[in-house]
Amino acid sequence: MRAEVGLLSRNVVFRGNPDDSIENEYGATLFIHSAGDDSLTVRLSYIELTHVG
Amino acid sequence: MTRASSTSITCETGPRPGLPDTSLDITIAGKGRVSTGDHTYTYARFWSDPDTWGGLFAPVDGESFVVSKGVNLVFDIDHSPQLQAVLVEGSLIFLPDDDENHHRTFDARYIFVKGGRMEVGTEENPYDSKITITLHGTIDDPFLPIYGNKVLGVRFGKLDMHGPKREPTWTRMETTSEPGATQIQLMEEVDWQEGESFAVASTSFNPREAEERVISRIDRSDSSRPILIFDVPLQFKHFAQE
Repeated sequence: MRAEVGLLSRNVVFRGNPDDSIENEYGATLFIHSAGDDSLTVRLSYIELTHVG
Repeated sequence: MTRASSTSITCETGPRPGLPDTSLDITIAGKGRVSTGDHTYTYARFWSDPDTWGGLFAPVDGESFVVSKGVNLVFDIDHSPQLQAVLVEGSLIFLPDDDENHHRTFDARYIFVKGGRMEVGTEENPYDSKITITLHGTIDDPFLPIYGNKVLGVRFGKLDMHGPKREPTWTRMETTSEPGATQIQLMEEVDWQEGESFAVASTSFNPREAEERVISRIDRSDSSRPILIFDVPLQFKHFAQE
């Protein structure tokens, strides 16, 4: 067994306000939803999500 | 057409009723149509251009705005004001800067893509300078039905967010690190840089032993076994042995 080491930083960052997200336990959300199959397209790659959820 | 060379064409358009779709069609008289490869033409407005805002002021702190259907808005300033709500029914496009260290910021309480398009890089052309999109708000702010608050919501339409490819995004440790360690050795070459953050997973039964640190230096004297060096010592042992 070997400990996994992951890179967290990316150039493109989506985040909640770092000043209060942790304190309030209330982060940003990315909410992808619409009615019907194939009703929207979201493609994300190599981005950083922080202070979310 | 105002100017043309073997590599570029500069044109001026008049005011347009409505906006054409993204396309590019070049014809040379007497020769026919030109192959345009992957190039396209987009009729877009720049945030920094006062005409975009009807000769009025661009949005300021606390204001909201709509990117109307048919409008392609390019966000070309460095820092947005602290926006309230952003409704995207047209296209909101963030273009990377030539300087890879350029850092754009965009701050809002709600971003809602409704039948429009928001683009922060594409799969083919990732956003290769820096950008931080920050959402603000608390649980007490008004909820958008279904989507809530402090949200980037997408209802119909398209969202693309792509950063430059990183290799690898994760790997494993070469050797066990003891509590108090200020460096760890990795099993393979990485493109990671000083100043970036990484996480080391727990190797005990307690998942809270996962730790996060900022790389202060990388020793690549053996590039296939790089050593990440950091300032704050690790609190826990992380096991690495076959």
